[in-house]
Amino acid sequence: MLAVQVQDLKKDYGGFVVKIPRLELPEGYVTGLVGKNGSGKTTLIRMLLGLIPKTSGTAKLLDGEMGQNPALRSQVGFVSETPYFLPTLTTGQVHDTLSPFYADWDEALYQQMMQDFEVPNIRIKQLSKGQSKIFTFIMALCCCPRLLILDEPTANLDPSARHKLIGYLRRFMEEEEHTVLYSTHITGDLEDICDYLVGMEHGQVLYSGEKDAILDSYLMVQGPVQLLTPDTLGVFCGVERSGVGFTGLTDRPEEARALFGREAQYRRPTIEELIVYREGVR
Amino acid sequence: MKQLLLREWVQYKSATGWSMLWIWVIYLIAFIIGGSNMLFMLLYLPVIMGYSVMLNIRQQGEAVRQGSEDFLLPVPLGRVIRARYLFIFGVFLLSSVLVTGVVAVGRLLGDISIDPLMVFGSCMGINGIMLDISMPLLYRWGAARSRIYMILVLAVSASVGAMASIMLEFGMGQTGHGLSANVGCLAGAVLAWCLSPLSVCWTVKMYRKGGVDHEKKPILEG
Amino acid sequence: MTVLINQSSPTPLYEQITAQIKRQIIDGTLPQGAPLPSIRALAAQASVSIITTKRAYEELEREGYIQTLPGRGSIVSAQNRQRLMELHLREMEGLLERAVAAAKTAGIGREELLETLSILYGEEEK
Repeated sequence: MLAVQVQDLKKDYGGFVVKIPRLELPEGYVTGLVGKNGSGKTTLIRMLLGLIPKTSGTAKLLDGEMGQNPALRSQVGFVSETPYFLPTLTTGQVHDTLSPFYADWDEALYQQMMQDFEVPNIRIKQLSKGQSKIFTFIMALCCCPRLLILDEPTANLDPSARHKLIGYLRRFMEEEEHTVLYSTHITGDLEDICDYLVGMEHGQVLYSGEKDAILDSYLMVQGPVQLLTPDTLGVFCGVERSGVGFTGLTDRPEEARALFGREAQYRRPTIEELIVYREGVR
Repeated sequence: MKQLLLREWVQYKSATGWSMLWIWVIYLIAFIIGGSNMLFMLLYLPVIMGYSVMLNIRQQGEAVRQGSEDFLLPVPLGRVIRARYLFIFGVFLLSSVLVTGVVAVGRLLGDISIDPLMVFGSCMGINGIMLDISMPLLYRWGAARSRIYMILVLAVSASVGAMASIMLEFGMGQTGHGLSANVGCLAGAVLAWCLSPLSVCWTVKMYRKGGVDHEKKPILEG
Repeated sequence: MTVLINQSSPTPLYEQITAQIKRQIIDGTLPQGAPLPSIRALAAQASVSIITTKRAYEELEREGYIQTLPGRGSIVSAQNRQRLMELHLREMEGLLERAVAAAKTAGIGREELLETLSILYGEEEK
């Protein structure tokens, strides 16, 4: 079954357009959504969740559209970039007002996580940025959703909280029908956890598919600067030169290997390198 | 529905806090000092109270951020909005009853000669009209942009209030007309509240149309 | 079962997993019929993606090391341990034959060859 199914989706803001002809994400896996600021990741997520109206097209989650299917909403957890709880409420009040709406609410997990992350029972506006992010994550996870959508969940978190959060995410993924859509700039979090990768730029999906397959279709090449000639430069998506050598990303690995032979070093790019060099640093 | 109303109450309580009580204390002090000539206060304060119910929650909490929770609750959006109307109705009713009670006591003591029923009718009427108009505006454009429209709505409700005051003055003079003014105010209130389901539909429609993206700007972060 | 992942190693993650499980099956740490953790549990515990562990299990299954029973997860294949050992023996003999041939060509004596072998074996042990 598909966790996300997008067809001809479009959001027109006048100056900025998000347009996705087709995007399908399978159920049961972690999908990373990457791209630089302003690439349309948050807009896509908000349309999927039915938080903003779409200009045209369909955006289905699990078995329906969020906006039209209230029952579906208890199966989708959302961690937004900025927490959306009323700032004057205390964490306990947020818990008391929201948990009764969810039939599968996991109170034991809630208590455990609140203790584990040391979230105090004070007003939302008094929490630190990281704490309120963590709290949103706890609220989303304890609803026991099938699909968890995370928009920059680890921004503002200290390394230890980030590590713990990823741990909870891994435990969540042990259930076969659980799916995570994870949008982030901190690609380090994604390197080892994500199965699928969706890259966005200028409101469009640039690449999507299995993470390993995508990374394998690119190659990082490092070598002495002399190797860079107008003829060889064309093989790269992006190159960075320094006094002691060059580093470049190519989407034609075979060609690059044939071109530079043993004079250069080759390795698989990380997600971060893919994003940075895909932009076309020259 | 019970859970939704509880949620409204907790949100309202945390956003307004004790300031609501203070408004009442100041109101009562002003009433005791000013006495029966405070017609303006009679009508104006319940309006302020009601206005604060609607705006305190949404405005303080930034309409954009707030919206997400309304949209994400596993309950139809219409029901969330209905609960909000119901809650606001409850607060209006309470404040109107309190004001009417003050007037009734004043009348018993012989300080005031206004009919308490008329006070009740006009309070509820003005609040009803204001709610019916301002809620859809609030949910279409969010607190920031709909403030301009709000001023307009306030102007309209103020003029309606002024008209009601004139009617009250008129009613005081001639007891014969007093009865019809009485009935008129109550009928106006009933009409305004009978129209509120229409306003609920309109609000839901507007809310969906605007989404949480009230400022109509692309969300570029991320 | 122990699976230790080295993120900075150039060896693909799924190969690291298959190699470690294979070794434990052959040396008997994982006896015949022993249950393996589910794909998802292993992914969570070894901090790798689900697809990576899935790929590793598929590979192990194809090579006959493990078998997956519907609804019961994966277990170490029962009948194949003997055969796997033989496969490894044959591979080792082939390589040794080539080593002996190379030694003979270079005129290296039997003693010296054995000595080299034991040094190499010792190093590997570490």
